[in-house]
Amino acid sequence: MSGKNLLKAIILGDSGVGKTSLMNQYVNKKFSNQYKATIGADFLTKEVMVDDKLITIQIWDTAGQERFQSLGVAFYRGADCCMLVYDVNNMKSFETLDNWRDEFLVQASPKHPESFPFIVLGNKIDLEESKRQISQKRAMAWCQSKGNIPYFETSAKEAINVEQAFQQIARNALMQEADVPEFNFPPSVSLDAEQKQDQGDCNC
Amino acid sequence: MHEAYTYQLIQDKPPLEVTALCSYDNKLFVGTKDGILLIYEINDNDDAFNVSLVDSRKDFTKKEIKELYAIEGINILLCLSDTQLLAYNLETLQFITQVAKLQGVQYLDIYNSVSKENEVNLFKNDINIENNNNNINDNNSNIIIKLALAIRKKLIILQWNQNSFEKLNEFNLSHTIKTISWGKEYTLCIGFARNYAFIDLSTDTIDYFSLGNSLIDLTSFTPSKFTKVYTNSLPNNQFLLTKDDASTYIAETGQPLKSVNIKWSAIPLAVVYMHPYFIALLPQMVEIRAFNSGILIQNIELNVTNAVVSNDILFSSNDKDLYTIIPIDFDNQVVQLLNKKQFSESLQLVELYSSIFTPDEKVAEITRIRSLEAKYLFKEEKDYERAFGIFLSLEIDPNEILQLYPMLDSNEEILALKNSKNNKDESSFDKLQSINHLVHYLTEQRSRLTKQRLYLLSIQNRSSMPKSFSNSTINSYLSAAVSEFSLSTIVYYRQLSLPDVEALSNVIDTALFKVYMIVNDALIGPLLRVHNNCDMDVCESLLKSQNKYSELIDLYKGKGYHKKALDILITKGESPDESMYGPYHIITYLQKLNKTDFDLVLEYSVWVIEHYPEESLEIFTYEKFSGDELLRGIIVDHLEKHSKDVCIKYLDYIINRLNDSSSENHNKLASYYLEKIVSLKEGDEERKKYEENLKNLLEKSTCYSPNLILSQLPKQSLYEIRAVLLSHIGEHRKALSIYFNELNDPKMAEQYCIKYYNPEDEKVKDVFFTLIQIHLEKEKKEEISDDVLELLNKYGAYIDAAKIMEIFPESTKLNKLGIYFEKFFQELMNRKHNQKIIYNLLKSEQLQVREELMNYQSQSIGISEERVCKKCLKRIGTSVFVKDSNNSVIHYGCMKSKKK
Ligand SMILES: Nc1nc2c(ncn2[C@@H]2O[C@H](COP(=O)(O)OP(=O)(O)OP(=O)(O)O)[C@@H](O)[C@H]2O)c(=O)[nH]1
Ligand SMILES: [Mg+2]
Repeated sequence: MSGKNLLKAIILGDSGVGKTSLMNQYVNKKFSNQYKATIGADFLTKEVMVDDKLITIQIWDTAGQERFQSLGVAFYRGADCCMLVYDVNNMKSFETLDNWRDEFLVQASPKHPESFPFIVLGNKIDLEESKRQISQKRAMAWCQSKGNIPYFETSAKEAINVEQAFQQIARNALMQEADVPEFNFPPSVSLDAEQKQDQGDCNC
Repeated sequence: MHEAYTYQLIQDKPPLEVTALCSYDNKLFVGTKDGILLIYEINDNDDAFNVSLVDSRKDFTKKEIKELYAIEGINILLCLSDTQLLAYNLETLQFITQVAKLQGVQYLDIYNSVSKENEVNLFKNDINIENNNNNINDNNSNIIIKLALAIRKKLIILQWNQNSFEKLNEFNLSHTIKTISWGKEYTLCIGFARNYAFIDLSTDTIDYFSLGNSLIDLTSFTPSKFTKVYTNSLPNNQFLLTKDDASTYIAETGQPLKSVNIKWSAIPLAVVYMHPYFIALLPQMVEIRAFNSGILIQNIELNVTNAVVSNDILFSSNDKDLYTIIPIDFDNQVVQLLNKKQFSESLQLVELYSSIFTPDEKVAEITRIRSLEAKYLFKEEKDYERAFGIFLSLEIDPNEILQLYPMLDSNEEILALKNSKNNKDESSFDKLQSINHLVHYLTEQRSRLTKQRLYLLSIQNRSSMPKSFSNSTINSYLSAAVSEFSLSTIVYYRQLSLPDVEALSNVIDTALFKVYMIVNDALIGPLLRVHNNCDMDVCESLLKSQNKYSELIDLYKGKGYHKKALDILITKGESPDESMYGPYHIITYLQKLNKTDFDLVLEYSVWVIEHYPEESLEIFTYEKFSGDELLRGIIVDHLEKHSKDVCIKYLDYIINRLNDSSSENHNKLASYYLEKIVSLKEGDEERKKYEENLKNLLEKSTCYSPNLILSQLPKQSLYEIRAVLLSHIGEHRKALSIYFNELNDPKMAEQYCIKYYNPEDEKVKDVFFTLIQIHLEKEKKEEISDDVLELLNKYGAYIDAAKIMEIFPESTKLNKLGIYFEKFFQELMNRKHNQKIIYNLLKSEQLQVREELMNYQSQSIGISEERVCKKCLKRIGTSVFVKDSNNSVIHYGCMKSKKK
């Protein structure tokens, strides 16, 4: 476990899936039906207890619309965890999850991509069942194939599972070994040791 | 410290004691203690610089030459000979006159509007100087030349007018004057032994500045020297006031400015300003300091007492020798510093020389120095953290940085490094460390390029943007793009065109690929899957050499080389010890292909169909393909060719799950079921299953053509199917007779009737009758059988008595038919009653409506002259109006507008 007590979480996903709404529900317990596209990025912080430890979680909400994305790599690099959000009533938003994940990995280039703490949220489950386009089963299969990413079905509107999802991501991020710069010690400190550790962490 | 100046001894000097220097054009005048004037010529051409004695005037003046001033424009050379001011012709050096017949002149200074402008403009740019030269020639008469002379406490101001100096003014000051310096045309700075004064000639005011009171740290000053500083780098004309070994700036108004304080190594004899340095003549040496910071730049061991600046060269002398002190140009100076790795000093030098650069040039120069520094940190200090800190803050061609990584140019080295991660040898450890830093640099460049690409595309699209785009959309779009670019200091990227961006992105992405290959190959897949410009050949060969097939497939897919990808998938799918064994990888790949690539889907599905017929269905049932009705036909044709079984499943899927309604597909499915059935032995489980499917299809579907299927039916079997078909074409009689005669299943026949009976439908309202008829025909008995009777009793209500009586055998006993008739008549009565009830209900409803109508018609309101509309309060008159429940009236028109 790392000694970190500030976590940086990044929320990614197509425009309109409810990223801003989820963050607002979690932090401010508020929801609005109105849609206002996020431009650039914005963050809110919240304090949470994770296993008797007080953690400040800094949640970065990003723009889903490509033309409003303006984040530099440095922004992604410091991330401790990443939330991928889609709308269960929108097939395209689910199909682009792959792309959001890949894009994040390239931009952030984490040391251990296979075990980087992602979490997937299928949002807007409060809408009628008939509108639903992606079954829970299908979403879970996808998460499974990407190395057992935890999956939550949420509603920012009805505050369903929002608290739980954020709690989970905080926990997972803490579990993740702090991103120790890999080469910042002399070669005499055996690289082998690190190598083994790598494999231990790896989920594959 | 570096060299900003060099010096040179002027060789051919007679052994005379030099007391004054002055220069004009390419001439240098040297005055001696004995009153002799030496004339030197300065040759400053590209290949050589030398100063040579060309003339001398022994009889120039009889006394010591204390000062010499060449006054351009009026062609006069002034000479302070002992205490007399003498004027000479500047060209011929002929004596003209003793200025104003003054005696006892100790100090003087000249204000010359021409040379002053030149001085100022020197630091602006060359064009201005040319303009100025024109001005000199054109406006000779506008030249303003003023002299300030000190005779003990008296200050005399003279001005040149036409052909002589005229006295303008005279001041009697409080102390003996020690030094004079002109500021602008109307300002003078006068130094005394313990204080100094500023004189404003436009108002004749004198401000005395007492060093002791106002500024504690200047208490010890006695102004022995004023150095003029004219530069556009400073906002105002300022003076450098020097006392003892310290100098400070003085504003035009006389107030000391404490921004820069210079502490000289010794007490200067004189301080000369030569942008951007102050040069102080100290005993035994010349000291050079930066004008903006006072930082010591250079010490030259030279013992000189006198100095004059001409054409950017300093001439200096002591009583024996004469020197030129020549500035070294900026480039040369910066090279000295860079060679010594003094990067922050180099940057200070750029700052010092700010005025010689345009803003862009300055940024470029700073960038150059910073990048040299970063490269030095990288190569020599191996401080990659700091090196990349600088690289990232700069906008330099990323190719320059990649040149620091020659190992990325060879596949062998890349792979060697990749495998060296477990080694402990220092050199590969170091390389890996440097490569690790490159990851972040490259990803940052990727995102910068993406922004530039987006920006260029947004400009490109702006003209072609549809009108329907709302303004706010456009604005938010642009402001997002613009704010982005004003925030960053992107210089390098800003000048890239779209093709440049693509080319550079190819370099960056390919390098990133290689770097990932070495330090973190789990990221290769993501890189190849997102939008990228990785080089195909490079990636292909590296991936192949590492057997990274899954990434190779990502590569091919991204580049549109689907055939290559699919060929690998098939090979891998065939080898049981591969992770990609089996059909699923290829199926997923095919599913992700576009409809435009459907030919490929067909081509490569063949392998799956042949090896994994069951799974192959998933390719075609994928929504993207099966949702498109045009493709369904193509798929069916394709499957027919390769596997009837899969084809049947596919047809079943689109008909039963997607409700396909093409009769062709329905006919095909029915025919294929038939084919299957016929090919299997009777009683076979599979056959039964197909029969069931076929029957279900034929019963539910309305899209097939029954006649076509009928024609394909084998003669002596599948009677049930035949019956279904017959029922579909309304041949109920035939269908029933099959149940009876071929299938011997009266129960089925009965069920058939229950299913199809419909009293409203002409075709089927008599099915029960037909059923009885067939029964009777088959029995051919005199008596009706119990079976028939039972049917009659059960369904009597639906069988017309008049008709049935005709077909009963003659000998039928009526008493047997009792129950039937009872039933039938009961049914008739039932119907009659029902009709009656309905009739009465309708009738009462009619009455109700009529009453309501009467009620309405009985109401009335009177429209008198005074009756006004409730809404507009105008008279109703003869207009159409409406009455509401409160009996108030309103114009019809008003009511309509009210609703809106
Ligand atoms: N019914 C329902 N609507 C939701 C839910 N979450 C968000 N919405 C609505 O979906 C719309 C978009 O929500 P946002 O949170 O602004 O979406 P976003 O992902 O931040 O979009 P971008 O900022 O463009 O990337 C808004 O109108 C929300 O009210 C939900 O759980 N249920
Ligand atoms: Mg948003």
